[in-house]
Amino acid sequence: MGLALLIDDDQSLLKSIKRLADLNQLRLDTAATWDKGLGLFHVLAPSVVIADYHMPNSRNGLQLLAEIKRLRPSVRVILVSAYINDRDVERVESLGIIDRALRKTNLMQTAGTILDEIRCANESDDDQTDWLAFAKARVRASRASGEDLDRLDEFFKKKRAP
Amino acid sequence: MTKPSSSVYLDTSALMRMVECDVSCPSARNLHAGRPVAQLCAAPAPPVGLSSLTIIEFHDVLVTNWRMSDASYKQFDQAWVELSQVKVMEMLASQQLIILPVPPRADEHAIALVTLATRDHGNGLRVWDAIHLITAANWARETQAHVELWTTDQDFQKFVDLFPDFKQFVQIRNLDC
Repeated sequence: MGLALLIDDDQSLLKSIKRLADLNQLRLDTAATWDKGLGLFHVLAPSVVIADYHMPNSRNGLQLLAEIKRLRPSVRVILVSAYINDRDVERVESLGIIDRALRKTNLMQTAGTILDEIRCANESDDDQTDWLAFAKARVRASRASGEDLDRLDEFFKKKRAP
Repeated sequence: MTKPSSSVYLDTSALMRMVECDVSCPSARNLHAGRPVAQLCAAPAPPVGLSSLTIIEFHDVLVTNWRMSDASYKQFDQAWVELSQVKVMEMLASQQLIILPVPPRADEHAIALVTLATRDHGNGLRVWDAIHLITAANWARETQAHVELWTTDQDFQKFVDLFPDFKQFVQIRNLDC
């Protein structure tokens, strides 16, 4: 059974989703900062990492998820932000690093979508590494352009800041 | 012997030091490191954890010692290998030792950890050691209790000093100290 990691400084969202996950007996760990999230990622090896883009006093979620993807390419990484639009979602997903970009809408809807991802990670994880999928993901991650990612990150910081 | 305050996970070096005491002239180092392990395993305490990797590596090191032609390894003969194998199997059969599950995808997790440790810190933790650490941390998380990882490999402590989030789950006890 896989584990999910949610990194977000929105305590109400973290608490709501953690409560829902516990009620559904889903394995979820949470972190309110980038550093704490990355630390837990190193220890616990989740199957899916869901991170908010904007976190005060932290590097941005795009950089966090890119680092995670390069380290463990088979991990599903999901970016969450309240400030991106549909076009941004397309741009993020086209980078080839982030598996899904998710717009935060209202709390219940966002929590529901995130819970579906957590459930999927909990249910679908295999005990064994699929080395073919791992190899393909590793190659894809290495080919993804760091410059494109940096450009998009700069764009978000300037145009999509809270 | 210092009573452990939490569950104990043995890596291969800890298990080896225990059986390396079972010869006519054990070295001072093996006695120092091995006796606490033997005492722990004999105590009516909670079961001591290890993984299938510990068992596999244990047998690998047993026969490696047996093959060594150096005079200092002469005591590690076929009889000692068989005695050691049976001793550990008896402990497993009586559940003084329990085999913990290696977490899903621990192999790729270990690859990531040793790559990161080498890239950022030049740390020498090996991939199999990372799997011991991952298994011990997973045990701690699942039981919501601290786990002590007993070893004679100093790279574990160096590694958790670099990645202190592991200390929430696992404390390292270097039996050589």
